Amino acid sequence: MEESKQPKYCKYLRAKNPYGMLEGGENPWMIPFESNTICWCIKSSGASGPDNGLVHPDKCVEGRSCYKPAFD
Amino acid sequence: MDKRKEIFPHGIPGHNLGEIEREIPNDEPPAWPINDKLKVVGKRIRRNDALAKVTGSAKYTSDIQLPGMLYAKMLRANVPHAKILSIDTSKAERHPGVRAVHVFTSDDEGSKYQDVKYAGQPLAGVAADSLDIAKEAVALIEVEYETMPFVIDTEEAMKEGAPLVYEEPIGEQTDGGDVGVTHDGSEGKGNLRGPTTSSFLGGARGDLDQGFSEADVILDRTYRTQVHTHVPLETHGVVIDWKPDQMTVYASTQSTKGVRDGLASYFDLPKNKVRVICEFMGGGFGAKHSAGTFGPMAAELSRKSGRPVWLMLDRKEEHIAEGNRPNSIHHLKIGAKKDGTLTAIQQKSHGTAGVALGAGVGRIAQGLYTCPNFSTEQYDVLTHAGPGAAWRAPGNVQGAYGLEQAIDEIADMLKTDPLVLREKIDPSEVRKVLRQRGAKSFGWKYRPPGSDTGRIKKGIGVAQSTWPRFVNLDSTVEVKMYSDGTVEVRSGVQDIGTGTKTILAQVVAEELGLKAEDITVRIGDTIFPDAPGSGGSIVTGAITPPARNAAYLVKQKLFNQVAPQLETEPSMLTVSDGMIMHKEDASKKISMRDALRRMRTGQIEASASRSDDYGGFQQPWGLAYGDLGSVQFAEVSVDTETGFVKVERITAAHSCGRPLNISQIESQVNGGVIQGVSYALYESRVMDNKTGHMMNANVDQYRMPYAKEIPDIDIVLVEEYSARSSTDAYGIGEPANIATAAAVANAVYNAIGVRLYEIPMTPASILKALNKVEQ
Repeated sequence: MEESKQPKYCKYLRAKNPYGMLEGGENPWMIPFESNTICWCIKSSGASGPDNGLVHPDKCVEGRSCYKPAFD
Repeated sequence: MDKRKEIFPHGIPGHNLGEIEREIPNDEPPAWPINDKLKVVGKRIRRNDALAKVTGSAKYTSDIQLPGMLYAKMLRANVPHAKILSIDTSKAERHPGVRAVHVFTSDDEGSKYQDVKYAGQPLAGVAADSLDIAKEAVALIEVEYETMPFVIDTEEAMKEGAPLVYEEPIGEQTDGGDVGVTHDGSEGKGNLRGPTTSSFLGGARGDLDQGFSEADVILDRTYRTQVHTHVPLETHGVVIDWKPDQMTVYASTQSTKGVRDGLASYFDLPKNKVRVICEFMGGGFGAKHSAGTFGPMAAELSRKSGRPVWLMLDRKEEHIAEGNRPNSIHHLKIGAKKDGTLTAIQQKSHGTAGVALGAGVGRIAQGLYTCPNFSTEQYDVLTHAGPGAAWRAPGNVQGAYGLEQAIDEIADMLKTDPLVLREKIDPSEVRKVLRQRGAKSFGWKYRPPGSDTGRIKKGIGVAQSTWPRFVNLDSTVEVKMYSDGTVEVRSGVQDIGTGTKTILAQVVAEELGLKAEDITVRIGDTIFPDAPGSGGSIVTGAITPPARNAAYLVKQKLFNQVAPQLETEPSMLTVSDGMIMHKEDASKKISMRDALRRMRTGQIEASASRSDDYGGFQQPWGLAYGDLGSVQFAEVSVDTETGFVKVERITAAHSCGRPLNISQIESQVNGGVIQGVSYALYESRVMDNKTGHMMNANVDQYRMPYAKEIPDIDIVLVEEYSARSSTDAYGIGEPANIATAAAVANAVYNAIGVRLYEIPMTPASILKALNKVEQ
């Protein structure tokens, strides 16, 4: 099977906008991002991640120090 | 899947009602006729939990009492920006009655603790034998801060050199989306993020320069809205009982599934080891979709103490840390021809959701009116204040406040009745009917701005809104029929006070030929099938079709058992008034109760999940065709000596597909209108820019309307059949709230002849506008 070209989001990312909730890693269907989308990290329970950086689908991807994949 | 063709009602009764043929799955029921031919659906059925609510027997999360339960309180940062050097909990741990203490730590490779980014950020928590002891113990926790510069004011935060909320660049992007270079010169290293230039409706269109060159009039304005907190009657909170085999969570939530999945992720637990229950819920308005910080804290304290833990936030915590509607500085440049035709809309906005994102002004300028040339730039401004959250039609209320005043101003420039202008530029058929019926009910007769005489001036205004029809396909319902004649509906979906329990009973009762009170509805528990969170006005359109479809399937199972007894085929049976009967031979019939008693098994059941809309979606993730429109009319009185504004009456004309329960829809609209009036005139978060603290974090100085300040609300409900699902019904939570503030603002302008470009419109701001006090 061809590997998905979508970014691999951190499993702790959550984002919500009026048409639903994105769960990082598992089912990132809620693209495109919009100006009213709220993002938070499950692990830090807030808008800044464990590394004090901004939580956002652009940011919560492989390479960030606090990133955790959906499946180890 | 096998399909068949069915004829459905289509259109608006009294306007253009007709029929349409749709192809539908074979396992879904035939089309219902319009509401006046139905017995239960579309009627004023009393809420099935009304008695429990009015007698106080309904148990909300804060009412939950479990054996051995502890009470918890969280410690919150008292500075807006700092690094934490140490947190000493030793005195709290030794305090008599304290059973567990937990400190939030960061498992990142940097600091042991996360940086503080707003005053009120939770740091630690205590569980004790009583709430008073927990509060005493929290006060004994010692935190050593290294404070850092901070910025609260939105426009100060936009300046180069302002204290940064995030030290790392916030504008960089990796996914090829639409975030460009910021306009403050920071290239993503400042507090400005954006612009967002598109939505699911698309991006910029046409040629703005060409559009403005074709215009006879051009309006160029900036509209401002305040930060608005949610203030649900019931604050955020949970009661968590973490036993070895399962974590049980009683939550005040808009999404049982969201809380379950969040806590399962946080603690790396299988989802089936977390059970979330929300039987009754005291309001959310968008901010209660997750476990927040209080959920993990209560769970940690329960794990450490081995006892259930109650953790409900107080009103101050609710204001400062659990979400708000971001403010907006909303610039609109609109061109129009003399006949009203819009030639160009250029939109630019800035707003702050504090430390979070999501402060845009929505899609309403993009989609409400016909205009060939459009562009938007929407920026988030990060500040050291509590995070924003979804708030009843996120962004679109701020967007409507600007757009609908701008349209009013263009009507003024063209010396046209603003309702007539909207008739010219609005392509929506349903809003045409809403305008006609709403104007008639309101008694709309336009008069020029400022034409009323005397000290108390009256004015009228109108504003419109649009809201998409969203459908969440992860929506499942199970229907069970028992041999004792009882019927049960089960789903994980929660009722946040809107009446979901009741509409599920109505839909199933209609399908089974029973009464709504014959149906027991068990929802708000993740042991039942998954269902969506209550947001985006999504629930009614997502959950009622599978409820009806599951009832239809279980009815077919019963027919299969009954048919031989009546010496006929299952396809020849129908239901009505508690009876199963032959469609053509009246002598062949049996009561539903007797039929169930004779079943070979003690129960039969069926479940169904939301299928695609008939005819498909606009976009495959669940954007349905159609619109949830509204047109609201306001009449106000303005005392030009004191500046007090009284909203005398609102006529709210709405559509939401097939109405399921008229009383409940009216309740939703009443709530939306009241919140809109309050947004226009009263509510506003006031921050101290020098300390970073909210100064009115209560329900006294955070002004809300008293009963006498609530207007008379006249609701005009328009049925609209679009034949997209087995119930053809949609929600109305968001649409009820979008247009109100703009309608009130337009009415105030009409009364005094001077427009205010900022809400809330307080007595002081009215007097300033009238030049009756010093500027």
